[in-house]
Amino acid sequence: MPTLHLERIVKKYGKVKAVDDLSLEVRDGELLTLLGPSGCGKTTVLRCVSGFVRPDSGEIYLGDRKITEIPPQKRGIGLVFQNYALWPHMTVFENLAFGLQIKKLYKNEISQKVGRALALVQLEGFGDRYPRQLSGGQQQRVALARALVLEPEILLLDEPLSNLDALLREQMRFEIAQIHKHAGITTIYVTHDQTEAMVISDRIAVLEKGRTMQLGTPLEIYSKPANKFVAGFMGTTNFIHGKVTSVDNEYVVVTTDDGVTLTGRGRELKKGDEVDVAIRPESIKFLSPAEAKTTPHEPNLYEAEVVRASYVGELIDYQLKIKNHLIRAKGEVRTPHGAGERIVIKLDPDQLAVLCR
Amino acid sequence: MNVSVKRILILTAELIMLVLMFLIIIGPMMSLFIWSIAHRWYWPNTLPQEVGFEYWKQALGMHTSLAIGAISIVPAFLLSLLIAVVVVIISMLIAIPAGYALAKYRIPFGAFIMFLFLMPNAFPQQPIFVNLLGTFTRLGLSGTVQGVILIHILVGLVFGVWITSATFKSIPSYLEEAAHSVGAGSLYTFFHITLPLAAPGLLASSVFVFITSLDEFTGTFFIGLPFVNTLPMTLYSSSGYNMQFASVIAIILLIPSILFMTLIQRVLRAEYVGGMG
Amino acid sequence: MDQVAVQAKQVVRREVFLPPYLLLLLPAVTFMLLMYGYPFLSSITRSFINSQGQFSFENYQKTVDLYLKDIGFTFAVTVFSTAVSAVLAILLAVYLRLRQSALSRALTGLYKIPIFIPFVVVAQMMTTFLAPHGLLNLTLAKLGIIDIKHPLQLFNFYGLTFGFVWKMIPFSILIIHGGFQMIDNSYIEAARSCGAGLMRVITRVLIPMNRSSILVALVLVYSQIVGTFTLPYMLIGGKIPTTITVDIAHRINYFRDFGVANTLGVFSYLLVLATAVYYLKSSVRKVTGSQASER
Repeated sequence: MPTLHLERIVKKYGKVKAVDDLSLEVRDGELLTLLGPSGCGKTTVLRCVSGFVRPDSGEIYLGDRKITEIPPQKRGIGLVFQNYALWPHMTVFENLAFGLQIKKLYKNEISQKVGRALALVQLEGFGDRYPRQLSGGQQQRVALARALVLEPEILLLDEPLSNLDALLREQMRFEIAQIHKHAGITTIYVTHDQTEAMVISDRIAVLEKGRTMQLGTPLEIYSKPANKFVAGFMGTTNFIHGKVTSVDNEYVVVTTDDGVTLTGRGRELKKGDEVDVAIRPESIKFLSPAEAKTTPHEPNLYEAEVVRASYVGELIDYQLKIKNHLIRAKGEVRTPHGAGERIVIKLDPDQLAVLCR
Repeated sequence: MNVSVKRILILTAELIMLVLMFLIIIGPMMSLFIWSIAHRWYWPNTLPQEVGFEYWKQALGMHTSLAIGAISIVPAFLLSLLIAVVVVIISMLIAIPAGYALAKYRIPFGAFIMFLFLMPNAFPQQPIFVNLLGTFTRLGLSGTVQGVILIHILVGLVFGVWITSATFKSIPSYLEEAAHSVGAGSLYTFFHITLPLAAPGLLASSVFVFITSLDEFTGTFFIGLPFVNTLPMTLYSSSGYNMQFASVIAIILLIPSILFMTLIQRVLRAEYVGGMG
Repeated sequence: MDQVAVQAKQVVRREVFLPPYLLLLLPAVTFMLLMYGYPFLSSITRSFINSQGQFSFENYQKTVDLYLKDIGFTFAVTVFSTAVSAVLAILLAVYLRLRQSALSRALTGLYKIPIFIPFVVVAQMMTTFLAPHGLLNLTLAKLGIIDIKHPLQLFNFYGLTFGFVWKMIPFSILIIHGGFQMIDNSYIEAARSCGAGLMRVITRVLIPMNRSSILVALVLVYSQIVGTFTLPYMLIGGKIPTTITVDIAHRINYFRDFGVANTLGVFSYLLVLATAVYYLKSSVRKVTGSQASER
């Protein structure tokens, strides 16, 4: 199946650039997620691909077909809407059969294809029901089936799970990932939920203000964020500001104003650069008093004071103070520390990202 | 003790108010009804001395009589009906596309069009009819059924466009986009998705235009006289000298209006509903 | 790729096709322009043309001479009826908003009836009901309130007002009550918990928060009354004083005098100018506002 190719797409609404010179390539069979906060342009990009928005400039290629000027009904793209958009006056079967009837297929062929699509989303036997008789999750699956029944070249999903409650959302994530693997269809997925993105995606494109901040696998995005925005967007991150004091290949030593030294990984940095060090709360290790004694001179070893400890069920959320810096950490429940306690913590240099300012 | 005394007082006040309102609303309607079945009614009797359905029979053409103004209203009723049907068909053919365009597209001169369709509600309509009379006379349309039909379309179109526009607006555009995404063209989408979902609102609009035409008086008075005798015109002309007869006609006009309007009242917003008469 | 080719690719798209809404709107707009726009304009221009076909203010002079009293009468009836309708409608709407009892529910069904009755029928009703020997007078005489030999004469300002108020209060309640329904209970409860009594809740919370609906009702009732022909024609007819609408009819039917008839029309426009401007502005704002928020 062909790939999707977006070349230098620009879309303005009034003075605001919703999409700012964005180029993207979606590989055959992959699930690429457009991830970002509201207003970052991800939905606009999707609507350009589906044909409901015409970009001011730029081109869109599906395989080797230029589809930028082609109206939505002729693009051969499957679209799953945020609010499902199931036609209320038609049964589930009729909803699915609609597109097939337009293609003028025979009745038995239509029945077959609809049956297969329903089986794919595990809704066999629901053909006679009306959308209003279905739960949110079931409606979502019908919407997915309706897009897939036409065997499109590419599948687009616009925040399909955002109208479901948290538990159902988690369940459906895995189901969608499974269905994608089963159908093997090239897919673009739009969401603002980073956990969702990481669970289902082959690659993620983090968008902000109409531009791509970073494109990579979930692991790359999370552990090697390219800039402060990506680091901050993916989960809770602590940022400590300082200057680069030495560079050794990929390892960078940063010193803060109040004399705290941190060693982390960074690229294309030189001595004297102003940087932010991104520290994930879960990468902070608490050392027992015994361990603290036996590891005296390793990098990233600090004395810290516990400012706040909040029990959150499966872990404890801490606020720690190192010199003048407040950072958040996560600790195990079985070794709790109370407020006011002085402890020793260690940060793994490989898990610290040094980002240029 | 105090609380329940207060409650009784409030309830009594409520009851009195309800009864008063009932009498005020029903009173004039009762008056109409009594007149329609009165054979002889001279004051100072509160109620007619003789009642019967004589005038009803005359009106419905079941009985001829030599009493003044006693004619069968069946021709007038049929004429009103015919006019109303033609008016609905033409009005809806014009209003549905217009309503769709206003609902779905952003129109550059949209404010001006809105203006045009709102003005009949903001300004008195009688001068319009008066000046159309001049034009129609020159065109040979005054006193004709065609002329009256045009007037009724004018009166009905304003509501028709607003109601259809509101109906189409209430159909979320993502339902139509979903149709496009599975390969349906604009026309196919309109007939298979938009129209079925808009049907109740469009039906309500049609009924509204129908009733408006049936009850229309002022425009018909200026354009239709003396040849076009719709039901309201018959009512007016008999009101001067035959109260019983006029009351019969009034009740006949009343029934479809109340019937239909209560049915579609749920579908329409308050401002449209009050535009009747 | 060289610079030229890249720039060629960056060509901005422009809409070259004919927008579809043009065709869809054409019949409706054309019809309205011909059947409404044109007569509306000529109603104003013809008021300035005298019987010889020249531009003059003769018609205005004549109208003021003959009909000034009627213009004042129309204004008085309209303002009075609107005021009475508004006050009573507000009170009843407040009652319906605050009270949930079997009686209030009964009233909710009852009050809507006059809305669906066409003005022609209302006119006939009032003619029978308000007649010297009509149901109202007969009932009042039976109750001993009046002497049947001196019945209430109601084919005048008072009867006309009664007819208008009868028809317009239900319509006003519909709009105003709709507005009150949108005021959440929490606002009323918050006021009560601050110690506000019933009157204060009504005057300081309910009515101010419902300003827009009340204004809409006022505007629509006012302009409807000014433009009503049927009721004054059948109730008062040619007696003096009468309304502008009746005078226009007489001018046309007996004298074929389009000049003065249109002048009277212009006066009726002037009477509603303030409300018309408010209505048009706020309606256009409402629709363009909702269009802007759609994006």
